[in-house]
Amino acid sequence: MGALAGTITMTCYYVQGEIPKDFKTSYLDALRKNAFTEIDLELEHDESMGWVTIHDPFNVDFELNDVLWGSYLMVALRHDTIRLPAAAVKLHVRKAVADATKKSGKEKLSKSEVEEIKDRLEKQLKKKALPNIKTFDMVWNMERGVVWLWSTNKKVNEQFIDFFQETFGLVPSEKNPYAQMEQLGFTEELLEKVLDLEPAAMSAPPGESRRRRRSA
Amino acid sequence: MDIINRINSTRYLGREFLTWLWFRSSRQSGIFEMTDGPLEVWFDARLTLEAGGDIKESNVIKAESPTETSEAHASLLTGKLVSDARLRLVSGQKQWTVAVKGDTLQVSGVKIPALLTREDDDQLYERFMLIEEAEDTVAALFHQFMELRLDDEAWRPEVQAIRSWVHGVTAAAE
Repeated sequence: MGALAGTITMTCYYVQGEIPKDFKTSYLDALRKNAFTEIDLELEHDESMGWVTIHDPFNVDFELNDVLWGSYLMVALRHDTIRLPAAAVKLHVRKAVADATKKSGKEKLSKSEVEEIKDRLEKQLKKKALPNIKTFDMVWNMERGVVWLWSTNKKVNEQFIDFFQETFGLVPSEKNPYAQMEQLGFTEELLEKVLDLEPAAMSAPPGESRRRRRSA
Repeated sequence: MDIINRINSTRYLGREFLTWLWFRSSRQSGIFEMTDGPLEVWFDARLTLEAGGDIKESNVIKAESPTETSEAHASLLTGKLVSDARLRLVSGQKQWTVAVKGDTLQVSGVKIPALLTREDDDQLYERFMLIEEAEDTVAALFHQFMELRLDDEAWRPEVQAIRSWVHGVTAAAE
């Protein structure tokens, strides 16, 4: 599912703050700086996250017409992970430990020797494994100050908020009734008044003039 | 009050909004007068009602018209409010369905009207415009609710009418 076609299931954010006058160059630079890179197995990483173009998850050459479309900035957040199937790893480790034990002539390998075999084997298996690739489209209407991320997953959204801020220097804030009131232009006076409201107790018997607090 | 507290102390208004929407929709044959003309608002497919406070109790109702069920009305009577709703919005020839969460007013699971343009670029633009129109429509309905909610004179009879509806409809369903 994505921004360009298919199901429209997304999380919406408000983005406040000034967009730089030179955003056409500075935002392209920022995207390139935070572009997706392959998982670095040498550093023993299991995952990697970064921006890719919305049309092609393997393209990190951000050009203006790949990214900007009228007042919309469109990119995708790519998140690769390597997860080895636990059951298969266990079998490989068991075999490797058995082979090493036989070769050593010992009756049993020490715990640290077994751990070393396991770590070495996992590194080898990760080099052969195909990473799981996920992309989440992002559409930012810079005129409206609204960003859509095509994901409702909590963890993905938490990562997105940090990554967006790191890339563009602006903070996406989640929707909520108070923020919606601010967006709708309610006055300062009403934004203060709303804080003094109490829950309406809609299930209270009609004609009851004293509002009841909903019990905990 | 800092911004986090402002946000948290006013979240319940999203649930009151969805519940008010149900009340008004049932009373006004689904029709709301908006700036652009009349809008129909119907509750579709799935409705969630939750208790407030520390009690994490909820009822999820799946039905073609979930607000017509006795289960939904019984939930209202126990003090639960609508926390999640699937709405069908009809404006002129255009129809959307959207899922709205009360606590955040997030609009997701959007089904937009059929696109009228042909060129790829125009279709994308039209797609985004229609999504924004759905969001703006829900925002405009929330605006109507909050204007009423913040007007003490107008809200007093409104909340009495809601309470009569909660008790009156439940009695009829039984």
